[in-house]
Amino acid sequence: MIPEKCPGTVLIVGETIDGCLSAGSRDLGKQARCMAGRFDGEPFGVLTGHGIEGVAQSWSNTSGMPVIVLDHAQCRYPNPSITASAVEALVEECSPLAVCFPHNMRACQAAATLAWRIKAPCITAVDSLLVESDKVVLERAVFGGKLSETVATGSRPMVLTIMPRLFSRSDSPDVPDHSPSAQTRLLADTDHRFIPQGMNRRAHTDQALERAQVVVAAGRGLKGPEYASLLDTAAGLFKHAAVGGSRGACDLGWIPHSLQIGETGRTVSPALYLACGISGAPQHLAGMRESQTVVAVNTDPKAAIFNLAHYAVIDDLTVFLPVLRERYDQMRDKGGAV
Amino acid sequence: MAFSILVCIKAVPDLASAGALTIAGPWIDETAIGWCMNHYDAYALEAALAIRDTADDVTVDALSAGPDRVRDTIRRAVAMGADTGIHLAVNALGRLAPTTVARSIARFAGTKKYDLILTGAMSEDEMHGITGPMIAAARDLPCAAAAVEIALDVPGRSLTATCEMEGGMTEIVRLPCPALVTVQTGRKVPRYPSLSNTLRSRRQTIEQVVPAETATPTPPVETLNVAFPRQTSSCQIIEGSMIEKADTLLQLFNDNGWLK
Repeated sequence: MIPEKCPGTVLIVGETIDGCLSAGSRDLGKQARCMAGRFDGEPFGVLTGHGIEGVAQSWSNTSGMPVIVLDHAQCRYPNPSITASAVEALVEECSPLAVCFPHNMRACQAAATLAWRIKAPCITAVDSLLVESDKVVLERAVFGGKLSETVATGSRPMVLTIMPRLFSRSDSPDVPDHSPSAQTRLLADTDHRFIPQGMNRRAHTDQALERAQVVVAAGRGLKGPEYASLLDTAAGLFKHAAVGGSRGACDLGWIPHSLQIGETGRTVSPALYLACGISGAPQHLAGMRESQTVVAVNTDPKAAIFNLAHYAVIDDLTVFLPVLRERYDQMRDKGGAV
Repeated sequence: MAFSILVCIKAVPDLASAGALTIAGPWIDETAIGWCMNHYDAYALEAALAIRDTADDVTVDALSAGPDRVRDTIRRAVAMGADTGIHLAVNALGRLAPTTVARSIARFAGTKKYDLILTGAMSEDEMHGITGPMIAAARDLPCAAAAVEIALDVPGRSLTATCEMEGGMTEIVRLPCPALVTVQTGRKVPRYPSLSNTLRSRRQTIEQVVPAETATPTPPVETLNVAFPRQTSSCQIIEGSMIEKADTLLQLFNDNGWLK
């Protein structure tokens, strides 16, 4: 079933975590047909894990592509080391146009290892892709999303990590009616040097952020811990609000790490996301992109957050938030509407 | 038993001091900016220094590849506490590709027999996240990415890394040494240079290594341009005085029934 030396294959590499399809893999699967279509090729899914035939069949059905399971006991938890070696063998067998991973740090590790070994270009965090006659033109965020870089390569295969939602759902071609197949390949014991011991799932006893109707979040624009109380004051305007922060603000200790919103932190989708002094790094956007209305307060009119925001206030949050509170209090003192 | 650590650091444009970024040619204007240690690499250096604080006979080398301007960043690493600063004088104009940097560092590391190589999880400027894993691939070392905690078992010559994943999950992995770990920001805030180390960093010679020129076997990835992100949403800028802006927002919040 491996598409032997078929010149049009695009490998779509997903993973399972303790028997469940990872969120990034699910998203990449939905983009697979569109992605392969850009290359004028066909998607072929690769899924790592242990004892995951059912998951693979379901991923195959929803993604509309055949799937091969790379099965090993040491792949129960993510194993970029075994993944790189096993995908390298597949690349030799089917000479794909491209190998695509969902973008995250361990996928970058697998992608870099694979690319190094097969001497292929490796481009990570791709958020746009266009195939021209002799080269592929890709865009990716640099400088924390402040700038977007356009790169090109003519070499095939290329190894890519793909940002979520590179193709919007409306772009997606229909999944074919016939049910594609899934098969399993048991991997040999080749590398005992990367030994997953287990996982920790941080149990958020407090789901206030996820349940809040309004999330007030701050980034480095907060300037210092002494201003953190401004967020609580702003949150106090709303009926059901919670406070969070970007990685930058949390790393600086201004906001507790447990309240970090983003790719590696918590994911929120409130009715209103009030982004204060947040520049809009792609990793942060990953955690709040589903918010229904985004209002951003930032001094930099070129901040990437404004690309996602519906309303922009170009101001210093440490000055603006107190004014907002003051006007609210005055309005309520007058007993009513704005 | 002696244990040696190499920390790979990158000098990146200092956006805090640079103000606005300006574009020149296919990249940013590098003449008008200062340089600083990549934030992620500072956390890698801190991880190495923390290991040295708790175990005997650990040495920490800090290395940066690039033109002469990276020497200030190496000196900063020595001031933070690295035992030795090494300048890998890669003679190239413009930006260095991750593959070029990885190849040069891997060759250098091959001559030194390090027990552990640490890098930042990515660089703040180019954000590839692949240089560390490529060094590991070139040296055939086991590798863990985006670690927020490293526990070293010196007698057992192994380490346990807690690697950050999406959605607040972490994966715990064990690697035998020699190994390479890329470090994520977060848990241990990088220390400030002490006075004694700052004075030492001014006196101490930075070792300079000129890598042999090698043809690059990897096909190039060409940067066509950089640009400020396109406005993809119909973002409405709220105009007026500060008070008018506040009132406009309050109206919006009130209309949606979000206000108390």
